[in-house]
Amino acid sequence: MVSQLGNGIVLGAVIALTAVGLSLIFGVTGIVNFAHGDLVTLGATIALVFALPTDDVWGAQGLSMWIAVPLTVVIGFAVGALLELILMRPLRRRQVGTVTMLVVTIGLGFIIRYAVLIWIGGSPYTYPVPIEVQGTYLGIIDLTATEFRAVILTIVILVAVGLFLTKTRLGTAMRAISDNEDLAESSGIDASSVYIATWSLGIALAFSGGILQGIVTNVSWTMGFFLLLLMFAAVIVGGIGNPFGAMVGGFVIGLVISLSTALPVISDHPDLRFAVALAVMIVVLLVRPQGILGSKDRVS
Amino acid sequence: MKSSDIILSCTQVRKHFGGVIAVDVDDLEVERTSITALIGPNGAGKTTFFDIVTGFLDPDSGEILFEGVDITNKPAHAIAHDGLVRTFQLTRILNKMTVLENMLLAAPNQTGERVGNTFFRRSTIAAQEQTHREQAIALLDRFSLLSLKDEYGGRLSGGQKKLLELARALMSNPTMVLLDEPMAGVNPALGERLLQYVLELRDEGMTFLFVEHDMDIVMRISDRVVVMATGEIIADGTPSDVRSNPAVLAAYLGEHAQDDIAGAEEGSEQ
Amino acid sequence: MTGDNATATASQERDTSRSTQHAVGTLLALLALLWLFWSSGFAWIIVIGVLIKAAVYAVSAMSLNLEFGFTGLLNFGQVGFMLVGGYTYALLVPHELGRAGSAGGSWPVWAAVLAAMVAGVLLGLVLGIPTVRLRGDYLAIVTIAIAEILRITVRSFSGLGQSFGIIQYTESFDNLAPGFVDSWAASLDVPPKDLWLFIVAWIVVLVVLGAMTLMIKSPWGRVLRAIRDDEDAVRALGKNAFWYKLQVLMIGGAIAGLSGVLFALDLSQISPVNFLPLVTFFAWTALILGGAGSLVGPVVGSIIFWVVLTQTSSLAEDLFPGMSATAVSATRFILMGALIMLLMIFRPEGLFGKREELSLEIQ
Repeated sequence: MVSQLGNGIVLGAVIALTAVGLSLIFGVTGIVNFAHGDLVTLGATIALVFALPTDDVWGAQGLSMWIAVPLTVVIGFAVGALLELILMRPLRRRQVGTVTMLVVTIGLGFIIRYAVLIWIGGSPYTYPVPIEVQGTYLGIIDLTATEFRAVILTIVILVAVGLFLTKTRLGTAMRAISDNEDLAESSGIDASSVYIATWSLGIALAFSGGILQGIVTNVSWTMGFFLLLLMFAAVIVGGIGNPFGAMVGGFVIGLVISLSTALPVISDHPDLRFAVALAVMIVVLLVRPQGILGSKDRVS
Repeated sequence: MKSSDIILSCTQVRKHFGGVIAVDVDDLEVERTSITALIGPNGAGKTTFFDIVTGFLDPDSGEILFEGVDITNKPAHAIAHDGLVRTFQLTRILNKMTVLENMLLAAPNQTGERVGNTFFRRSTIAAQEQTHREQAIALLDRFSLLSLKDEYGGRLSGGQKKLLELARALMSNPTMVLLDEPMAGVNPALGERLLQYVLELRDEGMTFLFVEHDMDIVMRISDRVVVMATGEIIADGTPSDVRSNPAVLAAYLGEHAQDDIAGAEEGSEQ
Repeated sequence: MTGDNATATASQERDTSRSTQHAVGTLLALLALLWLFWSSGFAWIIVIGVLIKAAVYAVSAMSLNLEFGFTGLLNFGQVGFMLVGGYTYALLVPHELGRAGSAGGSWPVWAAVLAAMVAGVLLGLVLGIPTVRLRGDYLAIVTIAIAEILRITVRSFSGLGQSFGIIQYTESFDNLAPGFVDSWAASLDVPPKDLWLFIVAWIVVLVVLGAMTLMIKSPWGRVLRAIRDDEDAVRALGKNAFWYKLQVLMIGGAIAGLSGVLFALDLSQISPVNFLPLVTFFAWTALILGGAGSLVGPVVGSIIFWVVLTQTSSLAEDLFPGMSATAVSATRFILMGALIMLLMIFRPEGLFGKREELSLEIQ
């Protein structure tokens, strides 16, 4: 069981990183972004394509990962802003219902998913990074050096996001709109710029999470959709609408998934460990639907 | 006070949101077959109080008895089923259904609302539907809504929606009705007829508790007036008692309120 | 207030435009069928093949219609219901596991079908109990998650076929075909099994449509439509909205389980890879296209959807000769994704739905 601790932390880091974006978008705009998982895939894919040797796939640039990754994250910010400006905002202006917005995100996710399939095909790819041996950290956690650095980097990013949300004006505005949009607007906050910032940051985080997952496992066209389900579990367990909840929930779910492989049935059928995460999600919904850090009025 | 049947009693009912106390009612009793007005400035907690009594909100503490039965934590639908119904300040009629369907929904004990019966008790259901239709049409007629019976609820004007909500509440043959600003937006002549109807219903045994801002109405038809401000009850008595209560005048802001009460004073000579 | 005349005219106007709407929808359906006949070269075997798929998805879409179209519930895990229905059926009737041919099962067809529907009911309960008291998004999230987890679970257990699936389970159903099917099939030049499934599938469609009509037009159906509109108002009228929503998920689950049986019979062998989210997406597209909240919408939508989907596949291959088969179907799915987005934005009521009655807000 202890040997899975490292895996749990890595998986938790990926989920936390990707779930924060989902949570921010939901909190500020009220939309559950069902395309979030596929945007994770898109980020991982763009970085992959930048890094692969030319002619491996269409658009491959053969860049070093040190360039490909930051470049992709920057593109993530841009994609997020674009999504808000050319899709979400016009729809809001039209006052389409929330169900329509939801189905639009589902359709968008589908489009991205199958576009990636066309782009890189159905088989998984790995990033051109050296294969490493695992070391042991803190006496019990087994990670490779890359995984370790990736987890540390993720924690740094999450802390930075946390500071952004609590210490900057824009971050505070995001939290204010999350709590009560009308009240926030009447105190002078410009909701439309906050929306762009939210989508921008959210997708950049999704792209980052995708790259992270790609580094520690691989890149495939369905990777993000699957992560979406884990993100949902994380957000529900941690507390819907609360980005800190998503961070906490992410690590909780990651650890639950990995550590559950020690249980009898699951050790024989390892894929079932994801079912455990789902079971946890359902139990939370039954017992405390607002999750660890959420507030009750968001819930019904 | 006369000893008569208390139909609704609320004791020590408290509710807070965040740090703000929304409702803090020590004691409120409503007598059977009476018309009680609940008045107070905006934000006094009247609608929150209604939400708590009718089960749409759970209080932090307190006890609410309806016909002697504890309904404090009962779900909203069960309370409505028990005979305590309400209308909403922002009307909640069904916009995507016709006026007539809105009424038919309110009819209690429609066998057809159990899915199994849909297949096996068709003639019973049809007969009940017919009876309910007739009742609905009679009520709609009284409320001057009959010509709109096939119109979508969403197409009605604000005042018409208020009337529909009231008609719909009465359709369920309730024992007690909580009305939240029932006459807002309703034209005065029709409103007058409806008030007479409410008085008739009261005489036939129904109990009313209503929130109103129109002091004229309040003073004329209420048996009793309860005044709420900042979540608490600050006055409780007959209309004349309350009219002359300085705390009540103080709770309302400015001369307009005083004018309302003073004007009602003049208008309410028998 | 409007006088009697004004309302009468408003109603009349609504009726006329409704008739036009119905006429247009029916016309499009007939055109789709004509196209199917013509482009298949009048080969009945192709026509019947497409119409079987249309029937399967018509039943699935009708279940979604009950849930979303009439009650406003967001079920994005329909493929999960079809999975439990299909697998329950296949595992109970005589069958073989895809790997190493280990055989099993002994139930008669009718019992296995009932069991499949019960499985759907149970899944509806499992999904509903945690979520009916919560905002509508939660059901959407839980359904999507459970459907995928079910797929992974089935893939994990050898007793359930793992990735090799279940095969050889159609025989008991095929044997039920009465004598006339053989001769009729011969005259149309189609395999008798296909014709039999076609007949049964469309009888199922009609039966489900009939049941839905009775249910929706009843006082029970009226409560559902009210819940779709404003759940709290329904509560204020003394009705337990949570219980109604649960009933809808259970009945919808039973119908979806039934569609899973037809789905499995059509494929003749099932494995986890047949139950991807794509299936849910197809069912939703058929529903929205045909018109959520209308009774015939899901059926017509399914027919038109399948005709277009199958008859454009050859088109795509002709247009993009260099593209791999995967890329071609992926392109079609991308276009479908775009289609459903455009439909929801510009014409959410589809062909037969009523815009005024659609509830597009999450409650």
